[in-house]
Amino acid sequence: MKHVVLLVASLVLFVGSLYPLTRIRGQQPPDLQLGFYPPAPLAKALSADHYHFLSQVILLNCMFYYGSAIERRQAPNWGRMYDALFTSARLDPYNMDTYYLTQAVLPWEARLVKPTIELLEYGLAHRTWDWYLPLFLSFDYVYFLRDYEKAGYYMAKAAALNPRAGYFYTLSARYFYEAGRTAFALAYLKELIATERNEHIRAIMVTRAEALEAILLLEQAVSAFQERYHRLPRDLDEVKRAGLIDRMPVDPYGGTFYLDNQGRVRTTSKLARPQG
Amino acid sequence: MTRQLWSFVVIAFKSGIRDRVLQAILGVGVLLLISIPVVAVFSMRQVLALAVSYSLSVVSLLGLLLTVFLAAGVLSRDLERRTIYTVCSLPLSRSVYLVGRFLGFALLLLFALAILSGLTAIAIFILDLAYPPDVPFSWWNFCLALWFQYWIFVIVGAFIIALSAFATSTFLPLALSVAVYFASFSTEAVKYYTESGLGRVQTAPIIRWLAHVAYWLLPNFSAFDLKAQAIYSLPLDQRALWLTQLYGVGYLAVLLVLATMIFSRREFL
Repeated sequence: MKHVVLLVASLVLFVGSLYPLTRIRGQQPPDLQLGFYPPAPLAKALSADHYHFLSQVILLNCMFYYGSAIERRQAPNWGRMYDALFTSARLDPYNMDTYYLTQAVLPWEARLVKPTIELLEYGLAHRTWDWYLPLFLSFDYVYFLRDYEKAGYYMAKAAALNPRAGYFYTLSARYFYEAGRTAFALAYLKELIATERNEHIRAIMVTRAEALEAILLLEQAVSAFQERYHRLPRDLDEVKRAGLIDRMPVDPYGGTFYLDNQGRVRTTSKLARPQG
Repeated sequence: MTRQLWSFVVIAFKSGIRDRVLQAILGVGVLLLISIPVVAVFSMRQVLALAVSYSLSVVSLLGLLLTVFLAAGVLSRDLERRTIYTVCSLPLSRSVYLVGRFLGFALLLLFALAILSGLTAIAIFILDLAYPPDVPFSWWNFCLALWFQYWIFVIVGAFIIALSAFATSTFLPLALSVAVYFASFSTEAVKYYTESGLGRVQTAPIIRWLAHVAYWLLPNFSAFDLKAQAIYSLPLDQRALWLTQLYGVGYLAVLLVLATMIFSRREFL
């Protein structure tokens, strides 16, 4: 009888304390839920051969932390979240989930573009077969930093790793063109056209190359005009009247070439076929 | 001598199979491994990789527990029950007894890890079908990772037995061997760091010397750790694998020879 009374009393104490404790723990600030992690080399040494799983645990904690902060309409502590993701990546540089969460959240909401790029480049050095990482990097450079040259470089890397996505090639050539490296973009596409066996992708690349050839011709004529008259031409007709081009090249996308207000050669088609 | 050796192996194996601790750890292992699919689906992009990572960590953790509990009892039980005196009075070499008991422990550990690995493989097979990864899963890499993990525990077990050969308490060999286990995953990284440009500047010569000594004295478990290759199906360096296996055999042989030398001279009073 004494044992039964003691057992019941113990259960009441246990259950009675667990309910309020659970509520209090659930209301803890998300920062405490994220946890504190030692530097990666120390964490690796302390975890023996479990550091791959520890990397995943840290990543899962980051996911739950971010979700909790969003649910409570609180701004996450981005610095601590980045540090945790950084540690996760250092523990297991092949862990794709870390880079995926980083790309999905940090450059958009925290404006941590350069740290995101640094982390993705670290991942790319290890996940050498993964075309998602150079794709993410290309996107970040073009969307957030307007660095078309770097965007083109990484898109070309993504294209080399995923040749089935034919539009990666033409997109990288576009980025090189936007970076003012039309000749490079054209040379890059011609190199690929020579070896591409898929007719559909080849046709897309040929069209882009024809457009870039026309643009390069016009850019060279504009440069010649500038050298001769020490000013930019008002429009491409002035270049033609100056005798620097015989006739206006044809845009294979059906647009019309023009000069923008910075003297760059553009086309009304924006190097794309009309939809529909 | 071979028959005597084999007798000790069989005795050690049979008594270990009946050990409640072994059965309890295997039971816990089954429960943990059943949770593989539950844990794995939390991954955003690599469900199978998380499953493999989690399962290898579970097998590693349970393997360490099994090694500690099984190896600790190899000599200590005979010493506590005084059955060692009966064994030593028989016309057989103490070395045969020690090596036979060690091989029995190694066989028992292999049996236990095979059960855990088999359950892991079932879960991974199902998840591979449900969530095929971008890079096809390599079963060969997975099996090799488990094999070399087994060798880590065989070496740790040999450490425990070697220390038990002269220690008078059970706790000291256990504590030292677990410390060796953790330290041995870091010796390679520390050595490479002290040899690097930054390391040479930041570390004193005595620290660099100690790092080298630790690297040579302690087993380099980093070489046996193939988890990354198993999780992400990374290419294997065949030459490094063969050298690692030879290194493991050599290190184990040194431990066992030292253990038999010490045990042969021990006085049981």
